[in-house]
Amino acid sequence: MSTSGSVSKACFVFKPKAGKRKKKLNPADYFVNETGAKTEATRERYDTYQILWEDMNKDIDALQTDIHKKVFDDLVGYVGTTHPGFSLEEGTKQKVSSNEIPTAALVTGVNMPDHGMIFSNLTSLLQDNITPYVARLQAKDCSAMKNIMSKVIMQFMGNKDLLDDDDDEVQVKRISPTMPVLCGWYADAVKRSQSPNKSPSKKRKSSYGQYPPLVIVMEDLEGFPAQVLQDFIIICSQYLSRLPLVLVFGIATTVTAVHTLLPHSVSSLLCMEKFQAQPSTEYLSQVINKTLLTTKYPFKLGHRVFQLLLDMFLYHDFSVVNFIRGLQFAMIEHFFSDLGMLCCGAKLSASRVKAMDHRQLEAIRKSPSFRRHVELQKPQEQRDLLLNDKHTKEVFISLLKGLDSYHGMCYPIMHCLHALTSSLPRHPLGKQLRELYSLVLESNVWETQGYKDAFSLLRLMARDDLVSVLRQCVERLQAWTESDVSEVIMEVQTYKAQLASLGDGSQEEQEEPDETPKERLSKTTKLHDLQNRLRESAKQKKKLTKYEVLRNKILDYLDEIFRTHLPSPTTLPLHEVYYYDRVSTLRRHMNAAPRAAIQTALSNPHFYLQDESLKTEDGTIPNTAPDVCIAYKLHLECGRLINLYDWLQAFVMLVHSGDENGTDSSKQKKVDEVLQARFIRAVSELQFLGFIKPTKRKTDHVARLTWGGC
Amino acid sequence: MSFSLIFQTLKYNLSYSKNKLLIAIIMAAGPPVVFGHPAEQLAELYRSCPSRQDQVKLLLALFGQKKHLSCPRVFLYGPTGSGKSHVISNILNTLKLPHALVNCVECYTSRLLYDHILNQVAMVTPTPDNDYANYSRCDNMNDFVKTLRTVIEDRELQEETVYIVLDKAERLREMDMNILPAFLRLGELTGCNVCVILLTEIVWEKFRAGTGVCEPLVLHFPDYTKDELLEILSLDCPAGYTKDFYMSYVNIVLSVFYMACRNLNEIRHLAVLNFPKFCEPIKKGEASEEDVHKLWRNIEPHLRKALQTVYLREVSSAQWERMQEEAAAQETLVTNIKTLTGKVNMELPFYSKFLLIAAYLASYNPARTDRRFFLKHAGRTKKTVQQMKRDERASSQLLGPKPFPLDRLMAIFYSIVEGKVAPTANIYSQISSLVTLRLMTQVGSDDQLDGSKFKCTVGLDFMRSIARTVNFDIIRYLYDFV
Repeated sequence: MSTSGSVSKACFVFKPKAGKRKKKLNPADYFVNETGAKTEATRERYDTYQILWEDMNKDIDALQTDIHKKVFDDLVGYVGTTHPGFSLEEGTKQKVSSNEIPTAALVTGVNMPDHGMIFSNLTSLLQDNITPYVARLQAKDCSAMKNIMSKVIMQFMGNKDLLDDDDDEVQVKRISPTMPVLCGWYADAVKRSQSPNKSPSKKRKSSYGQYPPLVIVMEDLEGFPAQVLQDFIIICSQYLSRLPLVLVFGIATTVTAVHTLLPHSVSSLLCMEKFQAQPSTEYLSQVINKTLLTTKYPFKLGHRVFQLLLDMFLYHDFSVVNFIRGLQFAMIEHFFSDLGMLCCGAKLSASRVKAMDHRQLEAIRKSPSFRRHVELQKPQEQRDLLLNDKHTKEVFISLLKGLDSYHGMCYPIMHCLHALTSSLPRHPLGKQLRELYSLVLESNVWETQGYKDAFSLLRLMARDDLVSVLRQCVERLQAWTESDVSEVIMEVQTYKAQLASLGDGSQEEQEEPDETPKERLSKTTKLHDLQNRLRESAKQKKKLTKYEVLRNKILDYLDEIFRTHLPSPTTLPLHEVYYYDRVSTLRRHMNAAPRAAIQTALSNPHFYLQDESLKTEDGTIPNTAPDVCIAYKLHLECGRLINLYDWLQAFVMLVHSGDENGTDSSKQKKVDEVLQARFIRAVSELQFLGFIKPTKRKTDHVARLTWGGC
Repeated sequence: MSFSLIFQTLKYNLSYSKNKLLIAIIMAAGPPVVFGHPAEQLAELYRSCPSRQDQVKLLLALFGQKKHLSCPRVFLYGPTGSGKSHVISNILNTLKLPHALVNCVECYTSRLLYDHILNQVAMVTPTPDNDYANYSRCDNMNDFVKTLRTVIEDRELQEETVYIVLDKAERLREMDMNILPAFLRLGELTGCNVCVILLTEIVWEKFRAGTGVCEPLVLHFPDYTKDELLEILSLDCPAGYTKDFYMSYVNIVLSVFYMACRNLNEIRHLAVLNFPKFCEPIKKGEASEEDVHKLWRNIEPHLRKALQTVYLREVSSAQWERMQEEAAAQETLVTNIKTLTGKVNMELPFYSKFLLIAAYLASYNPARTDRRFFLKHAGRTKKTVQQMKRDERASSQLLGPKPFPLDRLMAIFYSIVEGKVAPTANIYSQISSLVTLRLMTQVGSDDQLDGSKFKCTVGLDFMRSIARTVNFDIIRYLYDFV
C-alpha cells in the first residue's frame, strides 16, 4: 500500500461516497446559448448532431462487421466443425483418439482498445450460428485458477439462466466452480434441448447442432499468467470426452506468444488453427472513406484536427475506436457553436439561413473566411454584405451551395489524383489516400513540392504505365455514382484511346531525332566547332515524339482539372460551417497531458483557480497561494534530497511573509502547530502526486523524484 | 500365501532396498494369478495396455483379490507418455474396482481435492437434480478422514479395497503441509482398506520434505523402446490399409523422428498428420502398397521438413497441409517456415517502437554508460583493457535483461525520439500496453507511486528489425557492441 509509506504517519480512512447513484447526464443538457438558456436554436443544433451522428455510427457499425467478415466466417466455420463425432450417450461413444483441444488462434494486432469490439462481434456471431455457450475471459479477471474457473462456469451456466428464468442468479454463486459441475450441467442442458416439450427458445436452439460446443474466448492471451493458463488447459483436456470444448485465443503479437507461455507438454494438448484479422490501418482507411470522403455527411474535419487524429492513430495506439471517438468529439464540439447550425443538408440549411435572426447572422459574418470574402468585393457589395441581412442570407445560401458542389467534385477527383500518384517511386503525394487528403485540406495541393515532384515523374512515365494508371483513374471515377464526373471520365477515356491508337508509329518517330545530330557531327571535324555545336544542341529543345506530345497534353489536362477541383477548403468562404478545426480543444481532450496539467496547476495556480490575487510575476510566490503550490515551489529549489525541517522553515517564512515582520522573530523558535499540519498535508499531497518519496538514506529527508527547476 | 500378508509383516515400513526385494519376490511368483477377476476382463485389460504387460502384472499382483488387504501406498513414476495414468485407469475401470481418480492440477485448493475424492467414492455426480451439491462439505483433513470412513461404510465397501489415484502428485507438495503425509497414511487413519496411488513424473526423493512421510512402494514406468513404440503406433492403423503397410510407414516415421523426439503423443500426432501424404502415390495410382522404396522416396523429404516444426503445434493438420501445398508451389519453404515460427514482423505504433527500443537499451546497457551514449558532448571514450576484460566476463547479452526504473526509460526515450513529444497520457499508457503484450515486464513492487521497475523481454533480432523500421541504428547504442 502506498499510503502506509506516507511521510506523515496517520490513520487514513476512506469512506465510500454516500451518493453512489450517478445521475445520468444527457448531452442535450449541455447545448445552451451564451446566456445558458436552452432555445429553439440550441435544440435544433443538438438534433442535427444527433441525427448526423446516428447515421454515421450506423455506417461505421456496418463497416465494423464487414471488415472482419471473412476471418470471422472462417473462424465460425472452424468452430462448427471441431467436434464432429462428439456424443454423450454410452452406446455411441467413440473413443476420442487424442486429447487435443481444438483451438483457434486469432491474431488481432496490437490495437488493444479495439479488441473489445472485435470480440463482442465474434461472440454474437458464434451465438447466432454455432452455439449458445460462449464464455469470454480477460486476463485481468483471471489471476488465479479459482477466478478463471468460476468465470467460465458462471458464464456458461448463467447463460442457461438467461434462457429460462433469472431468479437463480444467487444460486450460481453457491455452486463450487469445478469441471464435474460443468459436465453435469452440460449433460442436462443437452437433454433438455432435445426433449420436445420445451417450448421457449426452441426456435433458436433448433439451429444449433445436437451438441453445441462450449467456446471459451481468451481475449488477451499474452496477459494471462502462464501457470494459470497451463493448468486450465490441462484441466480442459481432461474433460474433452465429456465436454466439447473449443478455445479461441486472441493474440495481439504473434503466434509465438503461445510458446512463450506454454511448455511443450501443454501446447501439445492444443490443436491450433491460425486466423489473421485485418490490420487496423486497413480498417481506418475504410472508416475515413465512409465518413469523411463522402458527400453523404456535411461534417468535415479541418486539416489540423484530421492530422492530430491521424497522428494519434499512427503514433500511439493504432486504435480505430479512439479515432472514431475523436471524430465524435469533434462533431459535438462543432455543433456547440452557432456555425454548426448550418452544417446539415443543403435544403435544410437554406431554410435555416432564412430563419436566422440578426445576432446569429453577425456571428457568422465574423468568421474569417467570410470576412476575407467580403474584402474581395466591391465597396457597395461590401456594405450590403455587412449591413443588409436579407442580402447576406442570399449570399450565404449560394456560398453554401458552392461548397456542396465543391465537395461533390473534390472527392472523385482526389481519388483520381491518388490513383495517378500512389504507385510513383517514393510516393511524393503519399501512399495512402488519407495522406493526400490531409495535403488537400492543408493548402492548395498544386502548390506543394510533392505535387510538383509527382508531375515531373509522371512526365517521364512510359506508355504502358501511363495507360494502366489512366485505367485505374477511370475505374476509381466510375465508382462514384453520387456526383457528376462523366465529363472527366469521357475526356480521360478519349486520351486513353489516343494513346492506344498511337500504335507502333512512335517507335519510328523516336529514331528520327537521334539521327540529325549524328549527321551534323560527322560533317564537323574541328574540336572548337564541335564544342560549339554541342552547346547549341544542348540549348535547343529536344524534339518531342508523338507520344511525348500526347503525354504532355494529357498531363496538362489533368493538371487543369486538379487545379479547378482540388483547391484547399480553407480558401473557400464559409468553410467554417462544415470544417471543424479547433485543434487545441481536441488535443486537450483526446491527448491529455496530466503531468503538464499538474505542473501548471502547481506553478501557476491562477491558471485554474482564476483568482486575481494569485497572479504574480515570474519567480515569486504569493503567500495566498495554496499550501501545496508553496511547498512545490520551495522544493524546486532543492537538490536530490530535501531536508524536511529546512523545508518547513522556508514554508513558514513564506506563509508569514505577508504579515508584519515584527512577529516573525518570536515565532522562529516554535512553529505553529496549525502551520505544521498544513505543511505536512502539503508534503503528503506532493508525495501522492509523485514528486517526492520517503528515503532511508538520510534521516528527516525525502527524495525528489523529478529533476530540474532550480 | 497371500501377498497382503507380506505387507502386514513389513508393517508399512518399506525401505528402498526392501522395496526392490519385494518387487523381485512378486515377479518371481510366476504367472499372474487371476485373483478372482473374470478371464475376459483380464484379456481386455492386457489388450488395451500394449507393451505394458509387465507393469500390469505387477500391479495386479500388488492389488490382490478384492478383499485382500492391499499395499496401502504405491508411488508410480515415469516420463510423460509412458502410460502411467492409462494403465491405472484401465485396470480400475475394466476390473470395476471402487476407486477415485483425481488429477491434482484440478484441485487448486485442498477442499476441491477432498470433494473430488469423496464424490467419486460415493458415486455422486453434481447435476441440476441435486443442485450441483457435493457429497458433503469438508474443510480439512480431519473431516475428510471421517467422511471417507462413513462413505465406505455407506457403500458397504469395508470388505473391498478402495483405490485413490492422485495423478500429477507433485502438486501435492505445494498444498498444505499435512496433505501428503496424511494421504500416505490414509489407510491407517481411516482404518479402512484404502490404497493410495501417486502418479508423477519425478522421482520419490523429491517428495521427501517435512516430517511424517511414509515410504511408499516405488514403481518405475520406463520409456517405451523403439519396438514398443512401433507396436503401439501400429494400433492406429486406419481402416482400408493392411497392418503391414502401416507398420512400414510407422517404421519410416520413426527412423526420421526417433532421434529428435521420443514422446509417444508427439510421434503419434506426426504419424497421423503425414499419413495422407504417404498414401498419395497409391491414391494417384503411381505406386502399389508393396512399392516400399518408391513410397519411401516420396515421403522422406516431406518428413524432414516436418522435423523442423516438431513440437511446434502452431497449425492444425489441415492448415499444415495447405501450407505444404503453398510451399511446394513456391519452392521457398525456408521463408515459409520462418513466417511459421514467428519471425513475422509485428507492427507497432511509432512511439511504442521507440519506447521499446529505449527499454531494450535500458535493459542491456549499464546505467553508468548512459551519459556516454545520450549526452551530446560526452566524448567517445574508448574502452580500457581492464573494462574489456570485465565486459568479456559479463556480456549483458548473455546475462539477460536487467531491471530499470521508469525515469530512466523516459530519459532514454526522449533522447532518442526525434521531434518534440509531449509527455501525454497516451505515451504512458503505451508503456502499460507493452507490458500487457509481454514485450516488457514489470518487476518488483507493483506500487505505482514508488517508482516501479521494468525489464525488456524481447531478443536482439526482434529489436533490430523494429529499429530498422524507424531508421534507428541500435547497434551503435549498445554497450556490448562498442
